Amino acid sequence: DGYEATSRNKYSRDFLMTLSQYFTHLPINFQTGSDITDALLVNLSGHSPS
Amino acid sequence: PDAAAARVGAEQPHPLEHSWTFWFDNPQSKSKHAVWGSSLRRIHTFSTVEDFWGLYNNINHPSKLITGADFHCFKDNIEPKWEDPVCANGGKWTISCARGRSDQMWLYTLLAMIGEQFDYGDEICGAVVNVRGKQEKIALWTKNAANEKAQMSIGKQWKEFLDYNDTINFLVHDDAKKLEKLAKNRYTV
Repeated sequence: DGYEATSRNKYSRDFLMTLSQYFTHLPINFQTGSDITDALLVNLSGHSPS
Repeated sequence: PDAAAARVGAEQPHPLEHSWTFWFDNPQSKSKHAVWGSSLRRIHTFSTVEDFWGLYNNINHPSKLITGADFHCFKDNIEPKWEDPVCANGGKWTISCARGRSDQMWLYTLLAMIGEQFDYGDEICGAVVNVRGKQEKIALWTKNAANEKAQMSIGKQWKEFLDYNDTINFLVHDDAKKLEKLAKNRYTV
């Protein structure tokens, strides 16, 4: 049935790529400061002040 | 096109079909005798295109991760482990490349998953990139290894999305668990 197909939030790669440059800050509720996040983050300056 | 993109960027958040969680296994925090998975940590769960990019743009891509690291992106209700009930009867397609060369394939894999580009997207659990000394491996985990039609479709589409021309193989988790290195691939595409 077509219900599932039409209800999906589908996004092409090209569309997703056009949005990339506008979202450069970590989500506001992102938890930093553990050994894990420190190893993973490019740098901490991208974190939105909260 | 820039103006159009700017308008798009200013709009309401774009919800994803699923919530996804990034997980990271950091070898630096692992002792020699650590049990597998004991250093696996949940990093963040996202459910919009905007939060995906906010995370992706601030985390190291595979080429910049330390050797030994495993970085996962799985649907929120699924843990990236064989033991997870959703993964238990599943398996994985794997693509390997030289150290430092997987960044674009990893991004394209993530975008295809979160953008729901797979015809059998419901069969997908998530993806993982394993960073090792000489190579980086990306694996796409799926739910029902016995569903040949779904697995073959996913394998074929994955290669198309990545513009990858070499053969890739599907290994059943249960075979890998029982037979370890002797396990044979179930499907090839």
